[in-house]
Amino acid sequence: MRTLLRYIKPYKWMMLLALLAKSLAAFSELAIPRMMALIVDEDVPTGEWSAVLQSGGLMLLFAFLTLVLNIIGNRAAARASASVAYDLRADLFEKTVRLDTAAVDKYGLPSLISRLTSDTYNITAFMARMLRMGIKAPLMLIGGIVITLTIDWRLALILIATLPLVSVTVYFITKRSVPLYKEEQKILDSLVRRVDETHSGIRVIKALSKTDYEKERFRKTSEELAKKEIEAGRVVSATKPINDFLFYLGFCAVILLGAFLAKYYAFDAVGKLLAFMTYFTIILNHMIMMTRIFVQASRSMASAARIEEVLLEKSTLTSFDIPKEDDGNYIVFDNVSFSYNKKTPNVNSVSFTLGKGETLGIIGVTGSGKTTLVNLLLRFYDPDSGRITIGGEDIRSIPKERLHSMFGVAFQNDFVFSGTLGDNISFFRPEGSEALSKAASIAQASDFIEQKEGGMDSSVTTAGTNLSGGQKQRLTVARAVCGDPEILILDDSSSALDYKTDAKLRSAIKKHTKNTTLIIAQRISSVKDADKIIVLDEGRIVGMGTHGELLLTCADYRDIAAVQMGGAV
Amino acid sequence: MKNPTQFQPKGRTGGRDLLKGHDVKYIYSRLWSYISHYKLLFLFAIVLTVISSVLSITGTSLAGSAIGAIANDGTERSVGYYLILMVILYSVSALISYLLSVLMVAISQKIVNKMRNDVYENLVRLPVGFFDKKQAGELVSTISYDINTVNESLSGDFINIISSVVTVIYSFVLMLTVSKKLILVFVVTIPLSVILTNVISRIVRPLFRRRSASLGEMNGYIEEMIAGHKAIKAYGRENEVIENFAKKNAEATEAYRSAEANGTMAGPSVAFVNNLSLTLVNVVGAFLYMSGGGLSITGLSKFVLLSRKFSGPINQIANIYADIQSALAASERVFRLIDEHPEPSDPEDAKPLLITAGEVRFENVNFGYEENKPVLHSLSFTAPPASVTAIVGPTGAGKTTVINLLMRFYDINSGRILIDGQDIYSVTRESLRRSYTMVLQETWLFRGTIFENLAYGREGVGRREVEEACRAARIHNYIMGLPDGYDTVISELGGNISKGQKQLLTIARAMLIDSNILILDEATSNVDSKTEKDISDAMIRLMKNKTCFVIAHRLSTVVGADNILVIRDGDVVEQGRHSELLLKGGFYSELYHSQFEST
Repeated sequence: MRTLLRYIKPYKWMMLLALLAKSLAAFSELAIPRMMALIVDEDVPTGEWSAVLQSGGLMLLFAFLTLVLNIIGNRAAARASASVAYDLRADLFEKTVRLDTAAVDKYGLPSLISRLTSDTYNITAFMARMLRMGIKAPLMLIGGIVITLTIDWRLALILIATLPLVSVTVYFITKRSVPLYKEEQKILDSLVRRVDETHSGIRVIKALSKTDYEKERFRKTSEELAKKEIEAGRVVSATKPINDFLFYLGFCAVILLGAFLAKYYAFDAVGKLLAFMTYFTIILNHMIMMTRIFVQASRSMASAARIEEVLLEKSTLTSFDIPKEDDGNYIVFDNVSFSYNKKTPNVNSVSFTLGKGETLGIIGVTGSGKTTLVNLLLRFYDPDSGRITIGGEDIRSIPKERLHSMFGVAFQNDFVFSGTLGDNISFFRPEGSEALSKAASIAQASDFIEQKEGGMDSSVTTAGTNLSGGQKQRLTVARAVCGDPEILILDDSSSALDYKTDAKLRSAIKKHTKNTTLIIAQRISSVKDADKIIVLDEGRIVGMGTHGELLLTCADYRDIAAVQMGGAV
Repeated sequence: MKNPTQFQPKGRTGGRDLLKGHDVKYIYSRLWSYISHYKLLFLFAIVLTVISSVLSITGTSLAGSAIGAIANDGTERSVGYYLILMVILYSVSALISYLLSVLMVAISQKIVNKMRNDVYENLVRLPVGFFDKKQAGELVSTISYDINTVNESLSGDFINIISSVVTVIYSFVLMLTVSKKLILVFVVTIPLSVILTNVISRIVRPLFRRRSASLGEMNGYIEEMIAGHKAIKAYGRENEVIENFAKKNAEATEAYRSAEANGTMAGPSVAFVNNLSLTLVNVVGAFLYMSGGGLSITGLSKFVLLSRKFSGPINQIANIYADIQSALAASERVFRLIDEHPEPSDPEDAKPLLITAGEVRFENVNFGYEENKPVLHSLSFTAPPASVTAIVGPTGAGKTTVINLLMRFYDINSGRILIDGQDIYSVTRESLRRSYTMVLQETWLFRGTIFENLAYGREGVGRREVEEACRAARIHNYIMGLPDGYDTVISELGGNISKGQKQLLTIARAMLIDSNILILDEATSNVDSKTEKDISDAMIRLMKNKTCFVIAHRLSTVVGADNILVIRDGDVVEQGRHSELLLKGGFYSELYHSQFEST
């Protein structure tokens, strides 16, 4: 909550303007029915036309004032809430982009995205509503009660007595309907999932002739949804009739009391009762509005807390001063261990060295820790023990910007975004078109890029759905080699390529670049020309050497080779 | 699989929702076909609506009389009489209006439930090509969002319109009986409020459209960039991404502000017209009373109260109109999906496929996903019974297309495909598809327990058999390590299941299906080599006595095939056994040797 206040502060004057305008509007609006009572009860009996005209003119003036003040207030509220939303989203986005990878893992992507989208939206909508109604509703409520008290305190008491009844009704109905709506949402989610799964699995469904089965499953879920909606409808539909009934009952009581007063206390009934009816409506409407604001408030508080949690997240990956010790090796892993959950190690006492310009191949089964090594080298995480140096510098002593400018990385299933093919290769770096086409040709991507209408400028859809797996991989490899990074990392980034293209790719990299290269692969053929190959199993190095050496010394390597190359080694 | 080439925007079109006259007529007649099942209930609802509105207005009119009675305005009855009547009328009206809402929710739920099922039933009958082109988000949006819009309109707007009409007419008639002259006030205020709401909604509608478009764009950017956070970090491009976001954020903020600032003008404006009309009624009423224009105090109070009832619906016309427009546009999208052409039905004389040996033949098959863009040209080959046919070739050469045609996911342009001498277009589609078992590269598991997923292809299969298949597929131990074993719900595994493990599950699923033809499309591409070796025995068992089609990048998997089809740009450029093809020294041997080539 405190963090949120910081965002409100710069716009306090705009907000004050909104609140002030809305308060004045409330007073002005409240005066209108009072004028009406005046005309009927006081002006008409005098029989003076000018008095009626005067009161009528005042009524019109108040109506106009209300209009102008409300519009001013609403505009100020819109401006203030939009500005707060802008600042909040900007900061939250920046924070999220810079978040430590461990924190990203902790929250999960969907949660971070919903904090940025729906939570910020909830807060903005709530703030705008608060500014418009937060002050106006209680003012109208209290002001209305005060005015009715001045008109006649005895009648006003009846009105006041109905208010708790209305709020209790609204409260209980809301309380009962909220869990129903939650259940309904759940069923709706599973209905959506059914459609989603049908879309992705249509081949399997048709192949196994399961369409009738799927229809039946959908029918059941759909029926359940309808039932739940009817159930919720039964509860929620009661709100309006009950409130209307209470309102009219109260009004009947007011008329009854008015009649009594008129008979025994010479009470000018007509105009006052008409005014009462109007105030009654005003007060009840604002009562209901306030109850709704409370419901919305609790949801927005939850959103605020979720946003605050991310904003207050602190980075643990700061730079330290660690003296440089150059031993001639370029990349050194010195007894590195790391675990994601701090229980079972994912990388266990890994040590190796790599000279500048050399190529390292990393091979091993799924889950053996190959990608974790890359994550540690990029300092997405700090090792639990041991150290990693590049050119003699501990990577924890290298400022993040400098560290990351050294790498070109193509991850497994890497990120392709909407934009042009060229955008995806240059990746927000100021690369010229020559550099782009050179990178594309090294990555064996020139052919398919040229075939597309518009070449480098042809567009890529979100998540690259208009590209094949192999095209996406070549695109991200092009991104990695573009700009000639010092260290090139290819993490299983040719798995969708056929052997021939894969081989061409590797020889092009060798020919055109002098980078130190790390290649992670499941295929022996992808790593077998490396200067050094590491075989990983359960986070440990079980073999290290060249292809020829490993065939002699490492049983695991031999097994993999035997399976893949069909004994043709 | 064919890649959807054109981009289709997700979700609702931001379009203007303007429909042509004959379209609207058509949509109404389609809607009527759903509504007409509940004709009587609808009629009942209309009757209830009329009664409830009339009662409520009569109550209000009685309130005026009661107030008049207090003022001793020459009314015949006592205040008490009116009050008792009012209480009765209002209770009955409240009760009826509650019953009415419940009734309408029930009717409209029944209708949209039927619509949802109709959409889905047609959906699963659509050809695979439809799904390759359409994004899931679009279907989801129609089935949830659009149908909900129809629902809200049916359950809300319908009653609203009828009760508005009744209220307007009846309160107008009552006001006429009170004073014909006072009615003239509305000659000023009604056009004013109609013009005002029209003008405002004309200004505001494009603003709101811009607001949701720019919000959608910003959210899309957020989703995309947060998903790519790893790459952004690795390249140190945080600043650039943040700068780009600032632009989208600014656009969305400004669009929100202007929509909000102008949209919130509507409420105060309508309130102003109401207050204006209240003022005029009072002032003019007062003059009429004072000048002896035939208006009593009872009449004045009645008129004031009735005029409030009267102006309520008038102010809502613009809203209701907009609601109905969007409901019509939504139902149009629903009907379009229901009308989408399904796979053509089997010919009348279609017999079930009868497999005696399992021979598969392609004869001069031509096919293209799009007209004028042939993918396969006069493809011919024969796969003898219980043989293994491997299909190899570079990415995009048309390997998966062969499978799509075999399964009749797509229909050929010309030529013939025969299984044991029967043209696959002369047999029933279901019997054809049931004769295959397939394991695809894209694993498909649905939300449900592991057991349900495994037993999907064979209803009623026992636990023991499933476990046996899993042991053979080397996935049993992994499953037993899960909190609920075979009863673990797949989606709860989240990231705890790798692509390779998913593939092993689909292999186990395939092992439980008994059929004569087996299709393996990159079935083990995500399984690591060690596990692949471990399951090789099981795979051999799976393939035994079946006509098999294997697509694989790893040429080691195809070395033992009886026949290798080498496809390049839609043509079979070579075919034969591994050793023959190597001797030939053609494209295959080039492909094969590239994996051993030194760079």
